[in-house]
Amino acid sequence: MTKHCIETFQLTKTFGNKTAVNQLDLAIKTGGIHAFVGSNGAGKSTLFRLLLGVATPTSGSAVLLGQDCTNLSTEVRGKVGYVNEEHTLPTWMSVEKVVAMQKHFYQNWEQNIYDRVIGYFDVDPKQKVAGLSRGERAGFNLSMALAQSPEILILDEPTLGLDVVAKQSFLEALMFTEIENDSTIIYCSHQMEEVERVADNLVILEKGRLMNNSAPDEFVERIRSWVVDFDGKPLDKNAVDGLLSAKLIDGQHHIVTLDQTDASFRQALNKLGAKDVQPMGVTLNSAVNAFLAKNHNVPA
Amino acid sequence: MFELARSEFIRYQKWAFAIAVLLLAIFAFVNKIKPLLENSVAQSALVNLSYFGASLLFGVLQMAMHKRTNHWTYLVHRPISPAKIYFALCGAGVVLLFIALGLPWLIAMLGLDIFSETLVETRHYLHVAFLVFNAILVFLIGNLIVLNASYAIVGLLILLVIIYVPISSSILMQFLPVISLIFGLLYLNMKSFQPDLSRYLKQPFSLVLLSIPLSFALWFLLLMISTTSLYHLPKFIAGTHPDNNPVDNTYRYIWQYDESELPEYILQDVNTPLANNMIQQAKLAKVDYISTDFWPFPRKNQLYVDDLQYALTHKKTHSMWQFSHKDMVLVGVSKSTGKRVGVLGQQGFVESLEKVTAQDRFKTVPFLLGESHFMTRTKIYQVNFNEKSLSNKFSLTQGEFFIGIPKIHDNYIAVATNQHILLFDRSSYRDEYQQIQPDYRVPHPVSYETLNAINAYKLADGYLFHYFGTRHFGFDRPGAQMFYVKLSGETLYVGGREFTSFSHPAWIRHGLFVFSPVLWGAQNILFDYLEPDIGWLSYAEIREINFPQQAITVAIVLHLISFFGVIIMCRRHRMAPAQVATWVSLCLFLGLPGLLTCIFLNPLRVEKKPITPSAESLAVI
Repeated sequence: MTKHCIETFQLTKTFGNKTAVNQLDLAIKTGGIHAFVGSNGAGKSTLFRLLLGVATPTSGSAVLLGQDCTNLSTEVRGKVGYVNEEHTLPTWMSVEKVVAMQKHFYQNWEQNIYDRVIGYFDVDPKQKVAGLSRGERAGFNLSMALAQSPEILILDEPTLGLDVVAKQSFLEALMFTEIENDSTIIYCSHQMEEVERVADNLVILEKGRLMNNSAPDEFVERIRSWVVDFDGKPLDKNAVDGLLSAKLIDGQHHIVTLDQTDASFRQALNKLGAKDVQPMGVTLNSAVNAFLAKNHNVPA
Repeated sequence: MFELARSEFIRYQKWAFAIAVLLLAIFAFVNKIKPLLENSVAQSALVNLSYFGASLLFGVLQMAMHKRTNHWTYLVHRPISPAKIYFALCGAGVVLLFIALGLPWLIAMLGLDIFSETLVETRHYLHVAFLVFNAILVFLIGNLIVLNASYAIVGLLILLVIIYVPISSSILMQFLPVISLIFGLLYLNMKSFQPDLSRYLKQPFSLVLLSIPLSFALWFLLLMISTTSLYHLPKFIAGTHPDNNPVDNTYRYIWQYDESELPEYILQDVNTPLANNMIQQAKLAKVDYISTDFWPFPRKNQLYVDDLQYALTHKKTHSMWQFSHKDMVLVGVSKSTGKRVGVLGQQGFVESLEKVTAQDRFKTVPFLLGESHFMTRTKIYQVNFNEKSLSNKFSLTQGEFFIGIPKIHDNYIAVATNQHILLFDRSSYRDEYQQIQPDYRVPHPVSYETLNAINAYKLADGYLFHYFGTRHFGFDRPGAQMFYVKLSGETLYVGGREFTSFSHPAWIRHGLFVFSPVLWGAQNILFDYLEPDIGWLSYAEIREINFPQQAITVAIVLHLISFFGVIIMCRRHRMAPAQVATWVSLCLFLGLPGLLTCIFLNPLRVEKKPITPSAESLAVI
């Protein structure tokens, strides 16, 4: 097995004047759950489409399980599962007929995995797919994707629009199977609590570029939050190194920074006239939000 | 693959069966009103248009439903090759088309064949096959419109023109083009069905398969757009268009004159007593238009849609007489009882099909005229149903044959042969007890193939025949001639004129040739091969043609532009040598339509070439 199951080299995809993926160099290690996070339009879905070969790079290249993505063999396609946010399925067929069809395509079909995962969801085999609720359809889709025993499973915002219970079932089913199977899961989501629960690795994309590729804890370690009292004086934002965000609440400046150590940053703030500097705890959600918000467009 | 095909079939099966039931109901309803197998040209066209419209819609819809972003990924991202996925979808589509469109026809034919005395022959069943094949062809074009990255693919609908405009007398030659085109389209669809649908086809064979029919479509489009925008529209705006400002001594100028005044213009330079007499008489004469259009006579085993007239119907005996292509005789069926009442061969009535001899069988399929007449290329027959007899009313000899059918005018019946215009007396034509001879037999002044139109002026002492056409004196030599036919039958040449001026410049008159001489020649030769005698030019005829120098010059210039244009395209898109060779060759043959095809079958924006992956470029943050 190769060390990296997914690799991209200066991967670029443009649509007219818009660059969806911008000279992306990315390597995803085999195994584990890799969460892909980014704001809307960051290029996540385009990246998945490039990886699955349904879009062609404008320049650069991508490799999936050692094979160029523009020319994936049927063998590699059989090893890569894909679940999208719409849970696209043949709605005109019954659940059992869809399962029967999938079995024909996938030689490594694991019926016991399907049975176990579908057990999390209340799905009647005789029912038409069109009649399933969104949660049931998501569960059915995940069950089939996992039963294919994929080496890579790409989940593109699979819990979008699911209620709390369905989301819970989905995540449990996913985590349970990850333990059973040594597959690589690419999990794209905007829900940080989900990412926090399942992810071994956090990939952040912004405007088509790679901003982070590390364990979530390591990423959180890089983010610091401070409450600073400047005794009513304004904060010179340009003078603060690694500043991600700064808000004035009740006369105190709430500052979030990137890659700043406690001692040196405290010293720097004191030089700027800070009267009191208090470090605060940072969650993955707030860390990612602050990180992504830095370059978020705001009206002039 | 089968599982996928089954899934696709299940998706649309209810629609297919519903359409089949609806069509059966329509057929049953139509059969109550008139014989189902009697189709006029308009009815056939309506059926064809409905079938092809539905097939095109289904072809587009089927792939468009799959093409939606997530649906496409779901479809193609599975461990079977794209070609197999496509054939699964296409196979299901073809079966559904057959159920929806072919099966109702087949059931209707079988029903008529088994439960009625209606003549249902192999050609009727073959027609169903032909219709289904064409529906499949259009369905595949619909698929390709969605699958191929180029929007110009819609131009492939021009293939229907190639199939339907020339109607070959050979069944094989009717089926061969459509079947070949189906295989060609299957290949193109298979190649276009790739995970990334935005990729353009690059294989030389695919390019050739796509370019030739597309060039054919763009050829016509080019002519329409360029002549309209560069010539007609500016001239209309400037108020100098020849249609509004007719030029003297052009063919167009004759429409400035009323029929009664036209001889005066045609005979302007003929200063003879006869011409002056004709001019004066024509002013008071009644004028008839005599058709010289080549009439497509029915052919043995032709597909039934070409049945221009269904049967002779005798009201008194309430019987209907249909021609059997299988037995080459007319078979009578009583409309009251539905039973067979006899057979009519070329020697007369016969009791039953079993008693028909070789001499009774017609050698060619006759064309049925009205209630009691029918004709072949050389004979006109009349049936006397009361006395159960058949008379050979009139025969042509010595290589002469009818090019049209008799047209009834107030005082006479006119029919054109390849050598003469024959005028018959109306009452004799209808008299069941006598043969007829033409009262007038006027020889054509030019070959029947260049005959365009004839006006007949009824004079006090005979007829004045006015022949005119755009090729009257040869290729690109319009003209008119007048002949006086005395009551005695003697024919005298009165005079004529060649129109040496032209309303439009040569590049407009010969636009199709100018834009692509090869396509122009190929179309003529192919269509003439498939259906001779209807005006297309053979290779030998093409060799005899001399185009005006202006048309030839413009054609050469456009060819050079195409050649340099395609070189620029190849460089711009950094094409591989095989692609360059293909496009240059195509443009050298096809001319400007070839260049347009090259532009449409390549992306408008130039794609950057992906770099080669290297381990050094890896970077993990």
